[in-house]
Amino acid sequence: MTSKRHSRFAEEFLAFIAARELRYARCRQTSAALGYTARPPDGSYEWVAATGAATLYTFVIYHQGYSDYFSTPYNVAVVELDEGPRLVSTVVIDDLAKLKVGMKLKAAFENTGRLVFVPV
Amino acid sequence: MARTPLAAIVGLGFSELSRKPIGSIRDLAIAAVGAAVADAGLTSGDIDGLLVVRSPLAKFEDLPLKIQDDLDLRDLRLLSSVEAEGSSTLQAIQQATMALRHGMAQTVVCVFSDAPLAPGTSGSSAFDLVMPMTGIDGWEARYGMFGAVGPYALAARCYMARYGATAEHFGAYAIANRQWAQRNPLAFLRNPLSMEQYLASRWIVEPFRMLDCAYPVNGAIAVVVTATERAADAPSPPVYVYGLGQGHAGLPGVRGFDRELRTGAEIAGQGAYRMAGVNARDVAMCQFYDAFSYTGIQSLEDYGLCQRGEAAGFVAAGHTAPGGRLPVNTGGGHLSGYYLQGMTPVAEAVIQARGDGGERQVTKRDVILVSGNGGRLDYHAALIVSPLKSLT
Repeated sequence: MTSKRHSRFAEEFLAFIAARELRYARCRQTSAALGYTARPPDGSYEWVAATGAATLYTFVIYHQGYSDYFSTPYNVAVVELDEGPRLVSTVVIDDLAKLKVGMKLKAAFENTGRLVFVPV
Repeated sequence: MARTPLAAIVGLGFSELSRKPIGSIRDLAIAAVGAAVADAGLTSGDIDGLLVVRSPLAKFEDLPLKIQDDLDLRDLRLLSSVEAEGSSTLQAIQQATMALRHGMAQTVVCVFSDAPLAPGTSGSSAFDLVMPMTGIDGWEARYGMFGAVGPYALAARCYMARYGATAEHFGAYAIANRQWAQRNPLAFLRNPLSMEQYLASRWIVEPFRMLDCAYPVNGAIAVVVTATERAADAPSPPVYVYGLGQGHAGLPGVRGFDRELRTGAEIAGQGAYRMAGVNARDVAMCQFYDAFSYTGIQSLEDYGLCQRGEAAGFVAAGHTAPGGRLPVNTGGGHLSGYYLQGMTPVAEAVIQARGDGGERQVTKRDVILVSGNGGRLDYHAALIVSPLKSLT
């Protein structure tokens, strides 16, 4: 038997993302929302659909280019889902100057399948 | 109760430091170890422990344990490579101290060496790793979160939003570093720096400008740590080690755990203070691992030297600059001095404790706090050092 406690949790999350579903893990016993850094034992958690409602926890604007795939300036954000978990993403916004910590956001999927957030 | 030292730093050695290629990581390490052993008035036969530290971005074979033979070190009783990202150098000195305390070894060399700058590499491209934060491997790359600078800038933005800190606060930190660097012949950036110049510096990852970021160099630094009772014979005044602490808070990644503002450094500081029998009020000067301006501000708060939310104002008031009441990074730190990870603060602490600071020498130096920080504010190690033979 192989042990996959680290990789399985991430694979499950990414499989939902590939199906354009944003889910988070919840502890079966306490109902507490778990962060995506958690690696709970098999059977101790369940994946629950997130509402997609979120808050901008923090963000930065890349002016220095590191890769041809990203044209500067672009933003990288940490969003906090209303249910509690935080994850790195980006906010789709016409004017970067309008980004503000604490602003309300909603999850969306780009045509490529990438999870992003848009202002509400 | 008076505290007696745990160990003593009796040797400090540098390789050449340069922005140009000046040799391999291994060759630079050899040069620094030789200089440190000579500085301690010792020869290779006196050394019975070696701890090597490399950058998290370097490969094991860049600085292998075989360097023992390059250095003609025989019959070692302690040999290891220490890996805890940016906290490694401080952890190496902690491990040396513990080994000395228990008689496992008597004289240990700790060396850090790095050569990130090759022809045509910029500081940014030399450190363009992807730091995982979400917990899902590969996730951050989807959003272009490259380099250490992005994750640290995310933390800085949190602080700005929470406490109302501004660009001028970060500028004040960078300027204070520069003022110290102007007094340090080892520092690389020594031209005067005004707030206008700081604000005109180009964005890297907003809210960080180029002048909020460490100034990388190629080079190596080594220290010789020995048992306290052996320190009296050293040619230079011994720098005594009194307190060791580490703090690794973990990143649950959910609401309520704001690791951007409150980090494991708090735990590291408490541990180091307790062991040394001092508290934050006793700290006369700080040598922080400040690879980004915000790290210095965050360290002032996590190490209990300022109240939460007050460090930015403390820095802007000039308290950490030359002539201020709590000198911080008196060699110019990582921003204006040179970026050799944990060895930058360690080397400056040794220089200040010895009284070798020249134009930048701080008078009150009885309790010196030294910090190391790795990952994105994830891994912390702290030391309390002093030139005094006992602390009361």
